[in-house]
Amino acid sequence: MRLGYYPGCSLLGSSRDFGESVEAVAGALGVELFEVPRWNCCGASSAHAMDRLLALALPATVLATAARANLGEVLAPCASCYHRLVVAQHEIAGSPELKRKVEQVIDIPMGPPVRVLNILEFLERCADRIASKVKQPFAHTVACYYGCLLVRPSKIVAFDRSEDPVSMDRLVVQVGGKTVEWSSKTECCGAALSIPRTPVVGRLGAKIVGDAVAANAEAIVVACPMCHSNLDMRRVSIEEALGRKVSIPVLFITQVVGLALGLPPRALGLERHFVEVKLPAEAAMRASAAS
Amino acid sequence: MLQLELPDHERQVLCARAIWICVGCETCLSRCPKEVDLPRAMDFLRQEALAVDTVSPDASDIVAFHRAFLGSIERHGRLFELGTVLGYKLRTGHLLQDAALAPSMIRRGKLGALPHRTDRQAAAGIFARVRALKEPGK
Repeated sequence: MRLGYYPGCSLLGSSRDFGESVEAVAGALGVELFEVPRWNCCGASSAHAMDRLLALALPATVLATAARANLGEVLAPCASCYHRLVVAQHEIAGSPELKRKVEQVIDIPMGPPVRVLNILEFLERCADRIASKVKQPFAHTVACYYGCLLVRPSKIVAFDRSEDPVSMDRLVVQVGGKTVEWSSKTECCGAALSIPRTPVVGRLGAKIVGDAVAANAEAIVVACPMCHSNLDMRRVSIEEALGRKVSIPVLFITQVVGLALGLPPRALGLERHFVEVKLPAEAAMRASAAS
Repeated sequence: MLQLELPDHERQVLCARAIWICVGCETCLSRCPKEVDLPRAMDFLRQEALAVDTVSPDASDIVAFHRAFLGSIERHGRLFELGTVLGYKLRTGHLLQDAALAPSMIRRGKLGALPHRTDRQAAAGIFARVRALKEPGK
């Protein structure tokens, strides 16, 4: 399988662990990822907060460049990148006038439509390959946390169920795990307020982490770099808001799948987390045997 | 807010801190039975507040973050995280914020010292043309 790939800025920096695990899993599944040539940032929250045209033009450049490189499908593992690409595509497709304006700004034609895949869609598509390659079932009970941008706005992203999504839960079960029923699956982590309003992110994260612990999850599993850094890197602020220490680790879904495929923890970036990834004994033994 | 299109309220809304605290989680839109697109309205109000210069002083650090973020993309094409955070600190004077975080990020290989290489001219061109469209005649 050959697939276009838009890693986005986070996956090269503060969420390197996500990038490493995406690439390691794709490699193990025999999927070739072709990076969109000379890709630029999607603009993330800052562009759409500050400038509508810029917020459409930045992702439009990525889509147009992918189309020009004959990449009919592009994997965008970051939930925010995925969201910006899909929303820009939707808005531009809905208005010839807007399309003309965007093309004037980006200075290349939009080209044929490119299908953008989020990481869960990608893994779902590889379900059979994953099933045939599981070496060490992921025997843990986890809380799947989807956040905002993979499932909303439901009419545009048209992915899973916006209130109680299940695709990540299905993937965890498929690789041998169990998932808890909980009500914070699509709560917001505070996203880009991480820097200008850290205590807000601490309070929002406290609800999510507290709920996962109360549901007896051994770990929280995420599919978004921003969610990960707000629940993992911002754990100190979360603990301040909760008034107690919480050691529940936060794993990317690609790390869960990678562990089940028998990939070494280091190749999945697991040592880069702020909250140590220590799962109960059985898994720890398997993990060390694999590395 | 959407029903009261009175000038007094407009002023109140454009000066509000709330429009900057909204992170665009889209929960309101996905639950609204009338499908009122509040996230889009929030984007519009923020941009109006910038245009007429009524950004709430309480939100100046949030705006500073966005400016630092976009400045980084304009310069480098991709987000240079270290540069963005330093830019934010200089704009807000919050010099010591997260100072303890930097060494632990570096230790985990999560904070690059240099921007990534990509097509810088292309991104700068996009920013320039967006500006030109907004200010015709300049």
